[in-house]
Amino acid sequence: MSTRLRQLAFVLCVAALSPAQSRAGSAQPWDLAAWLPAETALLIECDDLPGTVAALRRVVGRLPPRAVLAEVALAAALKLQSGHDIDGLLRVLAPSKVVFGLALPPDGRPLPILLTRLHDVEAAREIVDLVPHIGAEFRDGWCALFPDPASLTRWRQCMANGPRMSAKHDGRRQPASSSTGLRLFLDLALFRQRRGSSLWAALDAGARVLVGPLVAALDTATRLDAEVTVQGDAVCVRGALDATALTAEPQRHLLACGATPRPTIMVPSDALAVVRLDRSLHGYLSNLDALLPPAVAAQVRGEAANLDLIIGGGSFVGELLSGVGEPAELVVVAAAAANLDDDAPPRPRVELPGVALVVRVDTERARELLTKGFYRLSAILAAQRAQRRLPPRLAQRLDADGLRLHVMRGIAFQGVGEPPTDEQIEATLLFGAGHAVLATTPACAKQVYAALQQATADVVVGDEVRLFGPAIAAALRRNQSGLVAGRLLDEGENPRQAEAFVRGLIAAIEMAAELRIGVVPAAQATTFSVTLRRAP
Amino acid sequence: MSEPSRSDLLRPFIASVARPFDLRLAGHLARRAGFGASLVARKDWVERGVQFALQQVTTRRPEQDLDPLLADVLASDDIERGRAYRLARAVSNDCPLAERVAMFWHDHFATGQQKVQSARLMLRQLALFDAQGLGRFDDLLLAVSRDPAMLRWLDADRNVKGRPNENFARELFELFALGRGAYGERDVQEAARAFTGWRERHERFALLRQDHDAGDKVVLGVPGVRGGEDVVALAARLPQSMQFLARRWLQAFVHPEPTAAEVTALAAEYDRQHRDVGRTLGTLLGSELFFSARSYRSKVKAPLDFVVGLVRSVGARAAPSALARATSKLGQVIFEPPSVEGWPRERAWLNSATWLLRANFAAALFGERDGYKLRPGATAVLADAATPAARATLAIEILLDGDASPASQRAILEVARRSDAPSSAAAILHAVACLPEAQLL
Amino acid sequence: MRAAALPLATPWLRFAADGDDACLLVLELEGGNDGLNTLIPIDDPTYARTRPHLSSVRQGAHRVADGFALHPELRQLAASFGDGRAAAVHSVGYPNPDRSHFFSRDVWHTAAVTPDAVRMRATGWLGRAADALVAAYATPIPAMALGSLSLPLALRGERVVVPVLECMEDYALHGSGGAGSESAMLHAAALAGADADELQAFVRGVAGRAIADAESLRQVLAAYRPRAEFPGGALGDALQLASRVLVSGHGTRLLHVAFSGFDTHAQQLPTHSQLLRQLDLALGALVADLSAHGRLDRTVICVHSEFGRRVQENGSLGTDHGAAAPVFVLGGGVRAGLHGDAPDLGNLDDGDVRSRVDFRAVYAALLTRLGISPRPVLQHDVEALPLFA
Repeated sequence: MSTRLRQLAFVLCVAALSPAQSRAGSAQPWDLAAWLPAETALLIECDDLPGTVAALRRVVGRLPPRAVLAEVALAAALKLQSGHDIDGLLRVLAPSKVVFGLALPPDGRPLPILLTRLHDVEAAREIVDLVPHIGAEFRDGWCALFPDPASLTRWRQCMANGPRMSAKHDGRRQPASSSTGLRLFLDLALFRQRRGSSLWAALDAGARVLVGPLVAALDTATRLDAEVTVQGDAVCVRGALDATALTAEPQRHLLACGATPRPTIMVPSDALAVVRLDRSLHGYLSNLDALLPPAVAAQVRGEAANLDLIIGGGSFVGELLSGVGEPAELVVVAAAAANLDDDAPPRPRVELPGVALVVRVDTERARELLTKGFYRLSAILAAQRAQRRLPPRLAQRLDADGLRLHVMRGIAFQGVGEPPTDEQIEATLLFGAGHAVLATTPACAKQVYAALQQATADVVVGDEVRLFGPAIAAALRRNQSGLVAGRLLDEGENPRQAEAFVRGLIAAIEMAAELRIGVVPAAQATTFSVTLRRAP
Repeated sequence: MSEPSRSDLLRPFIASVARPFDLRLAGHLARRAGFGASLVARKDWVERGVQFALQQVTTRRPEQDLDPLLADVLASDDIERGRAYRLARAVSNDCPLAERVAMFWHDHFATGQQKVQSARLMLRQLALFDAQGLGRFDDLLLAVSRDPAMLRWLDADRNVKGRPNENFARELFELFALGRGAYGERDVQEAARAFTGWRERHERFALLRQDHDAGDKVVLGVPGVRGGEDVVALAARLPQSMQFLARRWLQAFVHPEPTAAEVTALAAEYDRQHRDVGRTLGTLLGSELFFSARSYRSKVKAPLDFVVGLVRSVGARAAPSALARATSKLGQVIFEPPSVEGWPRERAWLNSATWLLRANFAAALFGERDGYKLRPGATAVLADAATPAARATLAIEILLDGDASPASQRAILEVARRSDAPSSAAAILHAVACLPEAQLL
Repeated sequence: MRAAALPLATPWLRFAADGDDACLLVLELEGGNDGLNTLIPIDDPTYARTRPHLSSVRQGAHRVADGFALHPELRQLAASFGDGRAAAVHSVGYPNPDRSHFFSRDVWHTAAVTPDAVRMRATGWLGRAADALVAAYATPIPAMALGSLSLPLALRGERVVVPVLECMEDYALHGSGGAGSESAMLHAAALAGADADELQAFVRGVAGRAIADAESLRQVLAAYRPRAEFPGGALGDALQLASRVLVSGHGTRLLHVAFSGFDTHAQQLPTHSQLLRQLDLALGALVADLSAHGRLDRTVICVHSEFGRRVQENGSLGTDHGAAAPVFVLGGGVRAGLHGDAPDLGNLDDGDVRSRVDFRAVYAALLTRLGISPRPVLQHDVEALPLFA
């Protein structure tokens, strides 16, 4: 924490110097126009700071906010020579209402403004005097704080010369629900005006496919509104942009379904993550010239032409992609349980989770080309392995459990000790339940196939990413030594430090039952949400 | 019958008032037998005497926690990880001599990943040096001859009965065991026959009977030689081999240009120790010769000496992967010796470009820039000293055992006076690393 | 202070005035570049037959001579052929070609004739040429390696240790606070040490030369402004660095740049196109920059690889290790166009293009152009190919 920031936080804690009157202020109107200039580009409002912090801590527990609070409380305790613990101090010191604004005046330098409603104005004045180099303005029971006196002067000029915080903010303000912790407003039009360049231009080809639709909305929206709510064991950020990729050129070509809900497959029971992006590779490859700079488009086109050769002379875009039901889903599942027989071959030291790509197959031709491509690819990979003097892995048909799989299977590892990590990858292609599953191992393909067969009424719109903390933590825990090795070699830690770090990391991940990120395009807007649910 | 006596050149060093075992000699031992040691450790050695210090550098203690790390690096099969692993060992290992000797044999039996194409096999070859580098040379030479990386490196798969490939047999005589002039072309041809059918199969040594020429051969004047193991045993026993190895060890541990008398003396000691490498080097490191003025700072640091030496001397740790990249950049790419003869030596390491790279590495390391993190940092290392003069003195103790020329001391004092805290610690240590003395081993 | 006595910024500048200062840049395509898909026998029916997929590069290829066209990506190189500044030598190789990257690269680097001599890897041809330059002119840094991690064998000499540079910042003394914070105090430390100690005097000499060279290079290079736009990426960076060195004319006359990734056993088309595009952009920028600085006439650029690739494409849409392949030569005084005998795809050597020109004949021509006698460098009498007017 910088010294400046610490000073500011200290004053924030101390400003009211009285028992917080939680929620007492929410009934009173927020006269932001009296305090914030029109150039305010970012606004964060909190009606009940102690309540919000306490609720957040119920969810995120040991995560950094506590460390931040501890530092703030320590600074406060030192100044006041008080013996309060963190919670007690916060209850006593924290003001009920806080607003943080970041203005972008035309001079280009950002101007931070911390606005707080005071209970004991005199006490607050005294404390502000204790802190050097700070700017403060007191009026009507409110206090505006600035990191230095120069900022205070700049703020006064802004307020004197120009219009005030405009109706563009107030007009959209939702009445605070009981669980709303923070509200956030971002004036994207102003940011763009000050920064100039578009985000889209800065993305490389891969990033354009991954986040293109969201970036298209960010590049055209005038505002972003969001609120952070805490409900029970979940913290959720929900928000909206007033623009959509559905009509954005050329990014709309990246969408497969747009605003139409689509059915999804069941999440396998031991999934670590599912990634459901509403993307159309067909749309991407058919609109390369619009989506990419000429040189990059030519390069991607060359690679796509090569794919035509790999699938045996058919058209990758025209026959294969148009014969499958995009979008595809990506599923990551835990590695299959270890075979504990005595005569089982040595297990790899690091278990890679299974990764599978699932897509609906609509035409027999697509199915035929996928199969053909799989076999040709195996010959290509075998050639590459031969260069490293590794035995080939050749695709073969495998009938098991009533299923037909195509597997790139090599001879069992015959070298010394534990096999190298990538030996456990046996690329697998499986058709079933109207879908194709391309997976890193046969076991993973079967796990995903089992999930495919389960009926589910789940539908999804737009993009959805779900990460399952306990499953990820369990997978990491089984392969801790690899993470420890990384810390030893890349950070120079000793084994004790490295193990402590990895244990802490895994514990933090384990606490999150699920992290879910969603982006949904609609006719006029794009909504997004990030939900973190705590494990029981 | 009494044992043949040791040459006077190798008589044990005995500390005296006139020639105490001081910080200079402790530093000399730490640099030559290992890759340097922290000031705390060196002071402790001085306190407890030369015998204790020798025991510290030569005693193999149970491996620290590096074995699981090796298993992880083997699993990655990634040569860059492998380099980082070797750096991690060099920086943290407390058995300096084993580490030093492993790198000595890597240079001696120079094998390269570019041809071997397997990080696993390269790592295992080094592990072989870790395990057997201080044992009997006969055993080491046989193990290396059957080492899978070596078999790939010197074209074992092309050496078949009826069409022998001489690559390995030639290097065995010329570079590994005997040196030029100790054998003839006929010996190479006959020895190559003995090694026919030696193969690497599934990361292991295998003898392919159908490719092996089992007939009698005459090698180095000895008839009745059958297999490769006979050739290895024969070569290791020859007096020329003892002279050859004694010269290499003297060059590595004592002086770049050993005298004939020194070579003869160490060869005799090696013979007396029944060709046990560890015991022979133990005698050498404890000798008057080793601690003599002729030996002290008579060698130029290789990149690994310089990089690891800086980190160990300040008693710190740093990310091994970054140190491995630095060592490579300075010209010593572990697992990739430039030729079958190993790396350049001595003055060949230093030219204006590599000197700048060394100085700039020290700047980045002590300044904690370019991703280098020193744990603890340079400031903490020098925190004990309050005045500029004390900081200068301490920095010279840390990196140069307190032994710098008057001109060097003046230069460092000037840096200490002119640099402001908190950057001063980094600036002083960097300046010490730029002194001519800092390039010497 | 000793630093003040250093002859700063003189040796390289002084050298520039001496005699012929032609420079050579050797650009090595590591991994075995597919010669037939680089300089394409566009009208040869055998080519199309043996490469049913890979021959698709004929479309959009640039004709440079009767029956031969450059890969579609080699636009600027084709333009150089049009301008009369580029040449290619057909079917360059060596007798009994070896298909191991490792060995074949050593053959090209050492230029040694017997396999045993190659295996010793004692010195490289550019290293020996650098030795000759030092003997004749006392040039401080006659050669540099750019774009490689370690010193390529070609540059290993007996007298000279050739520096390997990743970027120009490597050739300056930094302070612990970062680049540009070096100081006289640091120079004083580097030049301290014990007067009487011979080894310390050696180190001091190296350090003194390093500081002087760095300062001289800084002054000389400060004047350089690129007059062409170099593409990003390792090759673009290396060639821009090469251009800086060449334009500055401070006596470094041999440069070696490695560009890897040409081992295209599988899915060759996109990989090879991309590599050749990078090559063309970077090389085009280098030629344009040298030309704009009036330096192209005194520079020769040679592009080669350790071997070509099989004539027949393999089942993985790639090609396997082959033998002879074209070598490209650009720059001042070159007799433009195609030299040597075109590959005869009807008369192959075990499936590979036969070697018709020994690569040492190309080396001999390059050395002669530099004013270096080829005999001591190549250690054999080699007749130089008449590549230069």
